[in-house]
Amino acid sequence: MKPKNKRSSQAVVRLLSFAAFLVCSVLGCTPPGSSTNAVSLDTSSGSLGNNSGSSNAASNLTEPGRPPILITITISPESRVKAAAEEIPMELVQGTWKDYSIEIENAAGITAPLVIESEQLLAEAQDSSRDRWLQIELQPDRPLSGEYTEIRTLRIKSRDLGIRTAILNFNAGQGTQDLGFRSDVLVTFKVLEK
Amino acid sequence: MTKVLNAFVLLLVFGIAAIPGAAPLQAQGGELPVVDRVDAQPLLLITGRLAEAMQSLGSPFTAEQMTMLAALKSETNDSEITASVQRMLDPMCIAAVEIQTDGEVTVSPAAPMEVAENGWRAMLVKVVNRAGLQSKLRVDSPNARPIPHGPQDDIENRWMALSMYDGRPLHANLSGLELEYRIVQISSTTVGNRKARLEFNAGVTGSANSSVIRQWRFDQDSDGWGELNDLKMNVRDQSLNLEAVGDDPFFSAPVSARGGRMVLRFWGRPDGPGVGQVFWWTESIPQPDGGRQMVFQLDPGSDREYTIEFPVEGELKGVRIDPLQGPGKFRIDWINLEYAAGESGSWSGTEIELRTVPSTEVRFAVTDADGSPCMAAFEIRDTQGRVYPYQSKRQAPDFFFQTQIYRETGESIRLPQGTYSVKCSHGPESLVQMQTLHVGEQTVTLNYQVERWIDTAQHGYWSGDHHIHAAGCLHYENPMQGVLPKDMLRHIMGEDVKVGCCLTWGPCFDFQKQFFRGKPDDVSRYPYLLRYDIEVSGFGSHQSGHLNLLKLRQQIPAGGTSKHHWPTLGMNTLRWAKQQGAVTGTAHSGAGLTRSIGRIEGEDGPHRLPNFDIPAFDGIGANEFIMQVTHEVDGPDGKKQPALDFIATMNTPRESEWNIWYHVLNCGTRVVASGETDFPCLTGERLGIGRVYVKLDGVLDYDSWVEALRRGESYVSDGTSHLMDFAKQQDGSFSLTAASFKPDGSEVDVELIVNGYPVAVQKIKADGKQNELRFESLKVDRSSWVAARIFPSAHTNPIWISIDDKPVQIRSSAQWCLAALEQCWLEKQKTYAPDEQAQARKDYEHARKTYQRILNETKE
Repeated sequence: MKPKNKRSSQAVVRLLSFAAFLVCSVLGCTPPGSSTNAVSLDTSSGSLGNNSGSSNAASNLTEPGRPPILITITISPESRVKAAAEEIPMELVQGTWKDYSIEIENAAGITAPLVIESEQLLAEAQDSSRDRWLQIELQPDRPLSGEYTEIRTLRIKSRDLGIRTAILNFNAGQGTQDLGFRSDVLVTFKVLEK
Repeated sequence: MTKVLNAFVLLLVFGIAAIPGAAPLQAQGGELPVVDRVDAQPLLLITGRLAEAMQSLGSPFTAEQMTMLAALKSETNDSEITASVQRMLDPMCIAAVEIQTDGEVTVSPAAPMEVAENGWRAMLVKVVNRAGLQSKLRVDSPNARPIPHGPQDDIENRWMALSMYDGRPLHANLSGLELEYRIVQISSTTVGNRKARLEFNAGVTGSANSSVIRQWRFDQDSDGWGELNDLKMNVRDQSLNLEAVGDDPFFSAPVSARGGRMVLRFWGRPDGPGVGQVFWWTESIPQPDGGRQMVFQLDPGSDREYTIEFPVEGELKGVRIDPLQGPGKFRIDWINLEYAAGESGSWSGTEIELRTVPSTEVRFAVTDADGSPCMAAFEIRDTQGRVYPYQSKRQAPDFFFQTQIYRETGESIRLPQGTYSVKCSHGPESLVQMQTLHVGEQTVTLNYQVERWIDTAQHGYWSGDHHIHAAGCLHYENPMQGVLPKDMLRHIMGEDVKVGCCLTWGPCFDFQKQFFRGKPDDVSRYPYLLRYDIEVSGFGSHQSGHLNLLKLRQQIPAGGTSKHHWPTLGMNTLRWAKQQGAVTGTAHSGAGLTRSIGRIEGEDGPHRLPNFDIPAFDGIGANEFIMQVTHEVDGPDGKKQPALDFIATMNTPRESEWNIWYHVLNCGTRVVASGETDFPCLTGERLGIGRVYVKLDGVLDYDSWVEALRRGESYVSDGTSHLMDFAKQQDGSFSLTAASFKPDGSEVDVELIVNGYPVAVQKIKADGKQNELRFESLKVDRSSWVAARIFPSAHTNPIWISIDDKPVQIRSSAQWCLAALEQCWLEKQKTYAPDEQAQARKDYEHARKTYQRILNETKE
């Protein structure tokens, strides 16, 4: 049985699609979230453009001082997203951001946003629910590049003290979670006093 | 609330009324250590995860236990929650492991437990982790050592098998929480009451109390293994792949450790029988010799853990493995070297008691509705809801990721004596039957005669699933050889899929490619046909959208013998495939079409079909499709034919897959819909969840079936709804036979679709009865396509209506296709190899002109 993760604007960290805005600026269509519902598409001129290229985030692999890898993501050729937690000490200081790395192996070459969902994410600042204690940010905030290997930074902050556990579920679009619980990881942190 | 909860828990666990606050934690057997309080948040989350793990092993918590866990979420007192969890789970434990703050481990026995003869059972181990270790908990037992080559006087004691379950959804290591429960799996070969010793270790690798000497992992390279003889070794997909090329293959690794009894463990799969050997050497005798060797029995074709215990006198300096006795292959996923139980100070054990209940043969007698023999699916559960055979230890043809098994008359399994509920089925055209099975001392027969609510083959419609796999995804996490044709046939027969298109793809490609015949496999048993073809996936190419290639004559293009030389432009693959007469289509079409980057002007229909959002084209579904459908390429006779025959449907969101289909149909392309599951990648539940029902006159044969599929003489379905014989009558009306089945028998809408929009609807009851429907004549003023659908479970292929010999051209869809094409190019251009860029640009330009021409020829 798969855990049902609540998905709200606060409970989903999502890489926004710069490509979406780029293509819409080229084509004249309306990006999601725009106040305009529909505009005409002018297709009467212009030839097929060159892709403006993707970031080569893989270059981060060699950057010194990179935060330790907490989670490795494998995107299979069938674009199934699988996650695994590394066996590293996981300690946080209450109310303080801590950076970890996420290593992404993208065998499908897909360019969708990587989405993290968790029922432990704080839904709002004043949320007092015992099971929601976690804040995360994924950086940089953009879709996958399509490169085989990318590194992203996962920033984590805990509201609470003590031992805290979260299930982080990863996907790269609807229906891309791998089967057999392989798209989510159970992570346990020791949260120390500031 | 807390006192009520305590009483409730005791009532369900022990079946007795409890006095709140005064109840013992153990109903019988040893006293387990008690934890007063831990933080409720991690405890409840980890315990919930434990429940999911037990469910996935086929040993679910009871409904009452799940209710109680849910109730604890609203309890506010952490101490009460801690106590309640222990009251609920301690009776499910075989032992408790207590790790003191100094890392010392003590083990306590729990009450005797019951196991089935030669069957596995999941039990819990209570872990009181006062040291907060986040290490791996290991288990060992002298009663679980291998019998082959064991000491003669110890054979009788080796009656048990056991292993920790550390797989998903659990985290492999302890959480560090003071209280948690882990799963141990135990099997017994000997009936009766027996005692066994369980020993546990919770050491951290490299720490003073660790039992682990060295772990070798093959993420990057061979991790120190080398010194080869008669052996080729390569590291691929995190595994060490060994190929013996002579009679004395071996490889070795240096490792230093103080002497003592050690255990070399590794997980692997040899391809042939025989024995392997382990040698070791020390500082004082620095080379292997015949006096220091242990032998292990190979288990050909199976994945398993090999455990070889050996004594080391003096300082260990190296180990050598002779994996085979001659030419052959052996894949090894990991290797560990550890001290044996008792050698490391952190191992501790206790004696437990197990009661092994005998098992009895259960035979199957299975017939189809007409009395002919058939294969069927059986989900067998005991009164506690536990699944048989035990899931995590299954091997092909039974899949560990399914609850059901497939059996036919003459086959049997063994079950412990007791009462079972058996869910019997034979695909979605059958009515699910529940049977109660009593297993006693004598062999018993389970009789199942299929009851059908419909038999589409009697109407000339032959079901098929054009996208199933024998390797990869859920079959195995690491690349193994996958399963065999006979295993796949069993599953397509059991699910009543008449034609199974088993597609070889990236994982295990070089093994699975041997099953390509260019015709149905010899294991096929009429009317069940199994044929191997190709999905271009996992080849490092086709990031612009995977392709299903059916009816190939050659499975690999010139220039190589494997999967790494294929074109990156899907169109180039289609050119190659079409020249040999293949039937071609997309795979998992909605992938890359679910995220919207904006929209153009247009009127969305019901179910958002059609809709005018522009997808991101950021995945591997029907993406390049938007370009491919505008092309014709050379067929085997040199005549032009459509590059792409079908769009795969029924396994991704209909809103995505049907929408792009509608839009390209509205541009006059005549691509048809087919149905697929992509088993076991999109789901491992069963194959045949997405199907295509193809109409044939007379006897089923593969070539006729796939050619009729190509022509669109078919409908797609999830098997619960059927739209047969959809036809335009001479008077202009449309007729069809519609049937649907839902357990509640509620109504479904049969819609008549014109150019993507419903124009008429008739309701039918989903009671399994066949309804002869007629839709009145349509007034269409321009060329159109017409289809019928029952959303979301079935859709016919279109009937084309031509007015003044003009093609179907809907301006708004041409606008959509043009915008979609631009987005696809923007996303996919970079996925094409430099030497294919020019062709890619040309192919997209052709598509662009095609859609632009429609825009020019149509008016608002």
